[in-house]
This record gives sequence, structure tokens and C-alpha cells, in this order.
Amino acid sequence: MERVVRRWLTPLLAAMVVVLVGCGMEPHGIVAGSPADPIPWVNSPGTAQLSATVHASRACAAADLSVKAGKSGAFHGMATQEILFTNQGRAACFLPGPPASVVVLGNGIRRPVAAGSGPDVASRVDLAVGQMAQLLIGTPGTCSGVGHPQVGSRVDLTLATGERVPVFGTWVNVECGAPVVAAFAAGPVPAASVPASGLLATISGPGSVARGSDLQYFITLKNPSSASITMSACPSYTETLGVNPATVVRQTLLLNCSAMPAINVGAAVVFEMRLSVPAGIPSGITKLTWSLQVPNGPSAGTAIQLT
Amino acid sequence: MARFPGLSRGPSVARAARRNRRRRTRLLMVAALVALVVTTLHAPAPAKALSNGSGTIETKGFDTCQDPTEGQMQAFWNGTPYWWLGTYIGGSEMGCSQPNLNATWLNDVRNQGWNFEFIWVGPQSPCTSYRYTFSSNPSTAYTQGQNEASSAWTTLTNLGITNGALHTAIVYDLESSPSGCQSATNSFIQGWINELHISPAQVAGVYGSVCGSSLQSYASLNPPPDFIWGAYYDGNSSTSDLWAGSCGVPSGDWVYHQRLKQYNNTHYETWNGVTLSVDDDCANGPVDPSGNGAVDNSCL
Repeated sequence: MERVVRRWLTPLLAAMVVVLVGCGMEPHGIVAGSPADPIPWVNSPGTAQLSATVHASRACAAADLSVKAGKSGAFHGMATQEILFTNQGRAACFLPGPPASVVVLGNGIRRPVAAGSGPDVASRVDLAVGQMAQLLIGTPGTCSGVGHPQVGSRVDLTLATGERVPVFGTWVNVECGAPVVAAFAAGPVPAASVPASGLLATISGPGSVARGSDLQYFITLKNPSSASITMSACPSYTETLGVNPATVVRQTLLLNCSAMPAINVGAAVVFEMRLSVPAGIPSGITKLTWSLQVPNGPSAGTAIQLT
Repeated sequence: MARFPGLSRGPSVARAARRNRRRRTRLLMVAALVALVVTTLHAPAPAKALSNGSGTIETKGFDTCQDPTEGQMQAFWNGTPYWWLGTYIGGSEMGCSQPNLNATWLNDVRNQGWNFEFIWVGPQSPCTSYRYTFSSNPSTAYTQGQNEASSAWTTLTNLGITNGALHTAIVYDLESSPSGCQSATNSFIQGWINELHISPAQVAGVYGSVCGSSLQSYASLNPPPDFIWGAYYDGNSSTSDLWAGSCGVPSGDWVYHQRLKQYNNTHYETWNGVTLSVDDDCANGPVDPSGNGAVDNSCL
């Protein structure tokens, strides 16, 4: 057995090391951007992403929407039932306020849902293709003599087009009072990711910095995907320092892509960052944040002491 | 007498056996090498893990019914006064679906700089109209409180919280507690606390309206909740202010960095171009996982 070990195991272990190193245990193709040799910072103005907004030109019809019952639960002292809308059509459409809704009880009695007027009820939601909206129907969570549920397992909606959409599988208990629209809001606008969206960012730097000096810190971008990510369309990044309502420093610059045109599979690249800290910014712990300006892009943040 | 190979092996048989053993050894080694290389190259990335533990923070946060997307969280972080998020993680009475909540989301949002206050919304008082309620029998309610703590702990660990979620803070969301069922409610909360305190122990909190959820009644439990999160919408962010005139939490209870306050009811806020429906909160108590953040004197 000793001969076997000498003859086979040692070369095999050596081969394993070669194979593993060559096949992804270590980043390869990196000649700069290591912690000891970061990609240098460049002061080149960039462009911040604009928040995606939608303004539809027509009301949503039943054919545009997938409507289903979400969770029933407890929220802000109310028993709530969530109803979820998804625009599954081919174009943006809007809901001009919460659809008129009626809770249908087991005995066939219909209880209209009062239109909510609180700050949580949007007067209109515009839905991009694939975007969701949430309607929350609430009833009082308690009352005297509670214990005799009157539950509606169906809610009938009437859209602005006049179409009726029944929603089954609801749980709306009206024993303690009339149902009301507790919330109505759109979810985030779906954004198509780009390759750089898949990068992972981590931030490192000093725990404190003197006001009136230049802050130097580092962002490591790692490519966890199975394809190299090119930076041919060089992305911008935004960094902020501070907390509202005190001074907040914010700047958007271009990443130094000329020094690192691509990030290979499994590679992690370190970029130097610099930010001038105003002398007038309040001292104490504050926020330092960094985000790549691509859809669903990576971001990183930390707390830092200003002295 | 017939000779049966193997019963009495001659030299050639012994050599053949050694050869076979060598072949088997080589094959096993090659197979092991191939298996190691394949698993190394193709195994899924290790599950992301959020550090366990908690730390005191004295600053503002917010909560919202549906845990926001990473992009929304980034917008609500950059330059804002908010350092922590009230994060719904489960329970039968959790009011909103949570399409974003998973280990990756927790880690990415943590990487943005956020802390969390984990919220569990299980069955409510039997004197309410909610779909799921606990028993009005105190003994049964106690066991149900234990069960909810176990479920919450399982959810925390499934979300990738390390070290069995040791010292991780989590609150039970009790939307109301009518007096007619207070005995059962006290037992239920006691079960919640005691079960969370079993090693690896968590930090047990209770959220509710300072009056409607009878938060002060839990001060007499043994042990009481490690911290409370009171809803009192007077617009005053001070966590010292949980007394609503004729009811609420007396100033002498939960005074050692054990208070959070929800001081503004749901409203829309816009930061960095993103609008969310939020409740405003202040903490002078534990958040997960570390409690780093600025000191906001208005929260004290």
C-alpha cells in the first residue's frame, strides 16, 4: 500500500491542485485590482440612473390582469385580505384608484368595501408589463361579542372598464365592521437586468475619517456568474456620505473601466474610491454608500465615524 | 482431492489478488479525484448566511407591510435617516406576501448597511376577529406560544442566520389584546418568551399598540419580554414616550435599551426617487445583527 501511495497519491494530489487552480478556485486573468494594487480612482463625471416611471394611456381591462387572492392576516389592528394584480398584457395600463369591491358572504349577502381615503390608498396606479399592484381590504380586528365570524370567501371587483372580476379564496371577516380599502399601491417597476447587474459589491475602508479631508476607500466587485462581464459600456456609480437632514455628499462618477475592461468568471477586482469630506458636515457616525448605476445593480454601504 | 482456488491460494493467485487490489485502489483514487473536481466546479455557491446576534441601536428605522426590493431598500438607505428595517419573516397572520424575502435578499440588504428587526405575526388573541387565534385556555395558549417560537426560530435558521440564530432579536406582532382574554394572552406570550430563551437563545420581543395590545401587562411576566416595540402614533419619536395618558407603558418598564417605538402611522415617503408606504420607527434597543449606526437623540 505504501508503494501505491508513493506511486499514485502524490502525483494525483499535485494534479488536483493544478486542476483546481486552473479551473476556478482562484480568479484568473487578473493583472490589477488586487487589494494591494487596486484599480486607481478617476475623477470622471458619470450619469445616475433615473427611477423608472410608467404612465399608461389606457385603463386596465380584465384581459390585461391576473388577479388573485394573496395573504389574509393582521396589519395595523385590522384583519386584512390582500388582493394582487399583475399586468400580464402587452402594454402598460392603469387602475384609476382601487376597483370597486364587494365582499360576498357565504349566505350570498354582499357587503360593499368602503373606499379608503387614507395616505396609504393611491388614487391611481400605473402598471408596466409584469408589474404588480396590491389591494388590501381590512375589517376591524376586534369588537364586543366577537366570536361569530361572517366570512366572505369571494370578492367581486368591478374594473373601470365595467368588467367584473371575481376573486376566490379570500377570507374577509365582517363580524366587527364593514370592510374598507386599507391600502392600494403599485409594486416596483420591473427592470431588465444587464450583465453588470450580477456583480457583487463589498466595501472596505477606514472606520473613521477627518472632516475636511479626502476619504479613500475600496469597492470590490466580484463576478459570481459563469460568464465574463465586460465593461464596454462603462457603468457609473453613485456614492453618498451623510444622513438627511444634515449634509449629504453625493456624487456620480464613471468607474475606471479603461483599467479593467472585463471581470472574468470568479474574479474579484478592487477599485479605489475617493470622496472629499466637507469640513462642515456634522461629526459622529454616518452612512457611506456606494451603488453601481445599472438596473438591479450591486450596492454596498457601511457606517463611518466622522471626526 | 480437488483444489478450490481461494481455499488454498498458490503464488499466482496471490499476485492476481494484489493486482486486483491495486486496480481497485487506482480506480477509487481516480473516481475520488473526478468527484472532487466535479463537485468543486459545479457545486452551487454556499448558501448566503447572515450573522446571528443583535446589538443596541439608537436611531430611526421604518417598517412596511411588504419587505421592499433590494433597489427600493437602496433608495431608502442612501443619505436617509433610516438605519434599520422592521422585517416581516412569517407567521399565519402575516398580512402581506413577501416575494423578496430570502437569504440572498437579507445578505444583499445587509451589505447595503441595513440592520433588521425581525417580526413574526402568528395567531392573535381569541377575543379578536382574526382568522387564526390562539386558545382562550391559558395552558393551551402557553403551548401555542412555544410552538410559534419554534416556528419563528426555524424560519430564522432557514433564512441562513448563523449559529442557530443565537442572540438574534425577534418580535411577536400582537395586533390587539382585549382585556377579556388577557390571561390567555399573557400565557401565550410567556410561552413565546420561554421557548425563545432555550439555548441557542434568541432575544424575545413583543410588538403592539401601547394601549390596545396591553404591552404593560407583559412586564409582570417571569421573565418578561427582553424588549418591547410599542405603536403609539403621537409623532414623537422618543422611545421614552410610550405612555398615552391613561394607558401605555410606564416610564419605569423596559428602560435598559429595551424599547422601540412606531411613532408615525402608515404614510407614503419618497427617498431618492422611490416611494414606499411606511411606518416610522425609532429604536433604543436591539436590532439584528450588530446594531451599528448613528445615535439619534430624538430616539432616546
